[in-house]
Amino acid sequence: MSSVVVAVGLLALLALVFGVVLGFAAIRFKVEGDPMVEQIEQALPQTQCGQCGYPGCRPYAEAIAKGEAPINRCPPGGEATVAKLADMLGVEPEPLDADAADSQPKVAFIIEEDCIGCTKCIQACPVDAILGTGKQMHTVIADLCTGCDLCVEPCPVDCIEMRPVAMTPKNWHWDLKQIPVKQV
Amino acid sequence: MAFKIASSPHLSSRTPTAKVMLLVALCTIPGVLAQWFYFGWGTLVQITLAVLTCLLAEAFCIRLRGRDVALTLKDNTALVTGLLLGICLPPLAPWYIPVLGSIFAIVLVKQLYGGIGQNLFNPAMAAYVTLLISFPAQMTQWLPPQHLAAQTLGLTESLVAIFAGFAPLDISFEALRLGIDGSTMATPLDTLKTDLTRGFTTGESLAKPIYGALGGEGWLWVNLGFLLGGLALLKLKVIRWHIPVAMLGTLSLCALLGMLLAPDATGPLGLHLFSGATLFGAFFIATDPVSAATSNRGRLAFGALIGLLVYLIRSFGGYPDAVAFAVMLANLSVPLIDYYTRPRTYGHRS
Amino acid sequence: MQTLLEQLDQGQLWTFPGGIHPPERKTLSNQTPIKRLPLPPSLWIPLRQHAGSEGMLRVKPGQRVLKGDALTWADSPWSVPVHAPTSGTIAAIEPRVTAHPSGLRELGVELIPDGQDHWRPRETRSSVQGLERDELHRVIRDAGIAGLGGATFPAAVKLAPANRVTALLINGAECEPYISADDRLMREHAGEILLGIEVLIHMLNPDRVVIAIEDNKPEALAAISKALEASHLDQEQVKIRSIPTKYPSGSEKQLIQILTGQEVPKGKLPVDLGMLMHNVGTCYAIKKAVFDDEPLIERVVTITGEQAGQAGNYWTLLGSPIRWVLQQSGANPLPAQPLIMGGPMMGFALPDIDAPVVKATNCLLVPSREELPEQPKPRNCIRCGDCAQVCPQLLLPQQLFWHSQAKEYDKADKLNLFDCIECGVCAYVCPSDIPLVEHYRIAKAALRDQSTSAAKAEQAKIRFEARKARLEAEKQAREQRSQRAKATPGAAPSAGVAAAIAKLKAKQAEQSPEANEGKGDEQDMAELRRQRKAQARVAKAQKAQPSPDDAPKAAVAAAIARAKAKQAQAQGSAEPTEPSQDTQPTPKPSTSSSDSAKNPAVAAAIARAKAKQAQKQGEKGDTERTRETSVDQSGSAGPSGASKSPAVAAAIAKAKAKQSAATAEARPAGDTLTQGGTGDAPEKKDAGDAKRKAAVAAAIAKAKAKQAAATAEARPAGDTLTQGSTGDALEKKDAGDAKRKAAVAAAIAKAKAKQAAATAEARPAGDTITQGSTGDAQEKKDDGDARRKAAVAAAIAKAKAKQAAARSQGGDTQKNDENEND
Repeated sequence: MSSVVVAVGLLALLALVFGVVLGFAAIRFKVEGDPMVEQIEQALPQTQCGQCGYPGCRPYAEAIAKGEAPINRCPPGGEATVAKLADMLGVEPEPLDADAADSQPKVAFIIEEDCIGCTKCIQACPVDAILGTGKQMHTVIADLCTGCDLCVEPCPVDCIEMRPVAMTPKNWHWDLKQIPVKQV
Repeated sequence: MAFKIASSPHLSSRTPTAKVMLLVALCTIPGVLAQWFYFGWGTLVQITLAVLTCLLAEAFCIRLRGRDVALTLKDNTALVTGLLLGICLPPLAPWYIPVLGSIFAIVLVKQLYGGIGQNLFNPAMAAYVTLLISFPAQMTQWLPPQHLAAQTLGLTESLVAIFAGFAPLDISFEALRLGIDGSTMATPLDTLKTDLTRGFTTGESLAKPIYGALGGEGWLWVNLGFLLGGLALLKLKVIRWHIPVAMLGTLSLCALLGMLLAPDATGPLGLHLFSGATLFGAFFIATDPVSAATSNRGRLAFGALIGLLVYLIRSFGGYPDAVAFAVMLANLSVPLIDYYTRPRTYGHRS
Repeated sequence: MQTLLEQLDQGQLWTFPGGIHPPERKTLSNQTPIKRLPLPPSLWIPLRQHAGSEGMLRVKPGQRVLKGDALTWADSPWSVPVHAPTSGTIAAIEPRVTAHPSGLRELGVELIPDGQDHWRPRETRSSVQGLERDELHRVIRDAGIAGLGGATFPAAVKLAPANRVTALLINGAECEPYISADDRLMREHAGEILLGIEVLIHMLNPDRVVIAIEDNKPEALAAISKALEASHLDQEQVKIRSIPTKYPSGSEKQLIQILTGQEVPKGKLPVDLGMLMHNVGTCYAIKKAVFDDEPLIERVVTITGEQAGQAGNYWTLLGSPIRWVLQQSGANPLPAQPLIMGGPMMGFALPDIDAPVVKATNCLLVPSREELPEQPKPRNCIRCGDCAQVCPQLLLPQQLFWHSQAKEYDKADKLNLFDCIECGVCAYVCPSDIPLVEHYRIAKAALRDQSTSAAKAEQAKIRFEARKARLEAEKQAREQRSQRAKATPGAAPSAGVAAAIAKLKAKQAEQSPEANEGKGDEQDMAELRRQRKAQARVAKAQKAQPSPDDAPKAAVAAAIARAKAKQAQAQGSAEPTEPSQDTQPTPKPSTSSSDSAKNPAVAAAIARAKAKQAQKQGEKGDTERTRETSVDQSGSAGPSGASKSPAVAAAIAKAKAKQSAATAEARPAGDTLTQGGTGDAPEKKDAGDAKRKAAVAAAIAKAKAKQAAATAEARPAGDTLTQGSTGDALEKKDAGDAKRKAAVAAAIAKAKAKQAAATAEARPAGDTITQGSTGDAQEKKDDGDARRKAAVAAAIAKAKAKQAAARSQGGDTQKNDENEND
């Protein structure tokens, strides 16, 4: 009987000791903030498009870090971002949620003849990449446009379209097989 | 008309893999001839069997993988693998030894890893080690050099012995192993090892007739034959000097140290260099580019490691010859060697 | 430890690791003197022919230019101008396939030579003594000189070094097989090259100048030595070095290593070591620019290869079509063989033979099948390490290849992929025929892409944060304002307008007894009346429109007097109906805030219409404005306003709010708009009749499509506002709803037309479009008038649309009024 008491007592003592150690460690080595959120945000393309259902990349990163959101909700990032997130979080990469048929980078383009100067797209743009004012023609600063296509919907006259970023000799990908063979 | 689009450079030195491999095969000829001269027809039979099996196994695997069979066979790598394995096998080993070894080399060591260029180990050596472990008796059936042997076999007899065993010949293997003097003979390295474990000194053991001037009767010439072939490879720039020099240098250094420190318990330098598979290994096995280190410094380290391991295993291990084990162990450490011997890129600080 | 200068003086040479000795084959082309090609039938000069950005265009199609005239000017240090290689006419400025491996198009200028080859006035110099460095710098930049060794780095950028240059290295190595352009240039123009070097010495004042020539060019070496003895350059200062032939010794980094034993540290430039390198061809171009005032308009091109016909070197005008150049030398390029610009090691296969000769074109290689046999298919890497043995940059080509192939670009980057100079020696020796350089280029492009998108993402994040902060600040400011406004109600900004509306409502109650019947029907009835009014106005407008294309219209409505009479009639009928419309300003503020969220299209249309009206209003004329002012100042429909219809007053009040913005817009355009709208200037209308129809149709289609999309989205069924207007737009043929839809469409159309007018201020079409679209919309309202029903549920949205239309009509009415007064 006494041996049982001793065993129980010893176990309780051990539990207490380890509990104290753990408690101390939790306080002593506490990680400030959530570095995971930072890392996840780094991996996101920062288009701020909201297609993930969160208002911006940061909230989505926070949701992922909390485990509330799946990692495959970022169409602008494409499969590459999903793969990166999966790698980072140690989970299986999932296929992209949206139909990311073409992950080709795009920029918004305002058909200037049709623009009525309503400023709705300006209000919609998350990165202030549209220039213009009321009743004046608007234009997209292509270098700043993230291609989130948030401006397309609000346009009352549908004068905004998403155009693929033009391939130039400067950003060419050395894809020799893509060159059309020209018959001379 | 349409112009071809191709990436620069448009010129090429035109020394394709197939040519490199063919040169390797040709350079083994002096050593193989010496081996045939001293150890009889069995050697050539083993080589033929191994080469044929390798080619068949390669063709089979390539077919399974849906690649171009003819194109792959033309690169001569299977040929070289079979050749190297065949050279290593005891001349009168039964037919299934070269066949199993070749299949193992090609299917498991090479093709399962993704074919040429992808294998971790030298296929011939991996197969040799596997055979040595799986068939220890058959794999140590080395004969004494023909001029020392009491009885020798011709081509037909060798074929019978290999394919049907010794029974139809009405002769036992033990009888073949008997020397002129009536004593059982093994390879010089084996003999030395056995004698040393029995308590003889090196000097006492070396008095036996199996030892010749340097590396043992016959074995010296076989090794010199491979040395000649190896020098030809160097001259043809098929291999570079780093691995053979590092390996032989380290082995020599260790042997010299051994001779200085424990002359009675270790083999002499000449025996280490010119017996067994030392020179064959240094020029034909360790230099296999696929499983060797890549940079010059890495190759020096790789060669030195093999030399050291050969000496250690020969002197302290359980096997008389150790080139195959040493090469395989060094193959394993290649990624590590490569990592630590990266050249310093132009403009970067070391 | 010897100093660099001592070592240079001793003539010590170092070597670089690796390198190869490919067959040189230079004798194919270096046996004959440089010939000059005739004028090509046309030249196409790409604006960007160097590493950097293109300059700004300064010519127009059709313009005549003289030889040497600049076609662009450099607007940044990284841009280099291009010049007319001969005199002629600019035929076109358009993107075409340029001399680039991608075969992509870039903007360029097509020049049709006039055959005169007439130089622009030139200002030659005989000496650089006394010339400021800045002046020389400007001359070299304006001459469009880019490094002619192959990298086409802007020469002027290099010549403004941050450090003092102790050693100026002149690259005459020309290590690439086949090419002999620099070889021949040195043999034949050694004196000029030395003059160019003299300019560089004058600008940089280096301690030593070393001219490096590979020892496979003894004639060039001799020619330069002879010219050096003959020149007045200090022979102690200028040295000539014969360096062993080895590819790629002509690469800047490798040549520096050969001459000085030093490596250019990663991320630094040679100038950080006090060294600067220029190609001999660049020196020649500098001489031409400084002494002869000739910009870079031609260069020596080696045309070689066994299919090159008369292989040799040719002075070729930049912009000459390669097809034509090859014809001149009698070249016979073979199909399925590459046609290479540059040498066989680093040159690229031209995707298009119509590409032009550019500043970087040092060689055109037309190989036979024997000399450049087809590359066998790449096979597995056997890890032979030959590539690492020959790599002059001491990279690990096979590891780079594995990572590049596996798309592990970050790992390739860690193995210093970007130190690869793409010299091609690795692929040259590869026994498995792997196109290593191609893999590296793809990996580099991908890495560059990654870094730019990472930078872009960072920028987007910053901008997003900034925007969030700004919106937050604005919100707070608004809250503060509204709190203040609550505290002092009199300060509300819309007080004046509200007061005006209140007045008008009172007036309306007096003037139109009908407005009081049935509260629920009020707005519909008002609409009905407005339809009627609009109908009348349209009839008037149409009659007043003498369109030459439209015979009946012309016949009916030629007379201004008649139109005026009608107008008066219409005004009379409209006036009593107006007040009911004016009940609507009350709901409007609320709809614009709450409803606009639900139906942006309608809201936008209203906004547009209002704006337009405001503009008209603002630009109506002095009399108008005085009236407005009086209305506004009195804070009610004042005595002068009383003579107008209440609608006019309401419009004026609205317009006032918008006026400040509106004044920015072009007054003349606005004026014509007004006139067109009244139908009082028929002569202006005829032109845009067809055009306006198209515009209106387009606008309606757009609006329809938009609204269709909106309906597709799940919206609350109870949201009758949206539904009503959407449905209307969709069912265009439904006459019962046609009016409302038409009103919306008209508003949009008007807005668009106005926009057009506002942007292209004096564009005459603008006014007619505006007028026309208004008229068109009114036509539509008109035909549905009889079947109009009182749809209470959709009232507010519909009313809003109507209101927008009506208000512009109100403006028109007012104008009519004014015209009558006139």
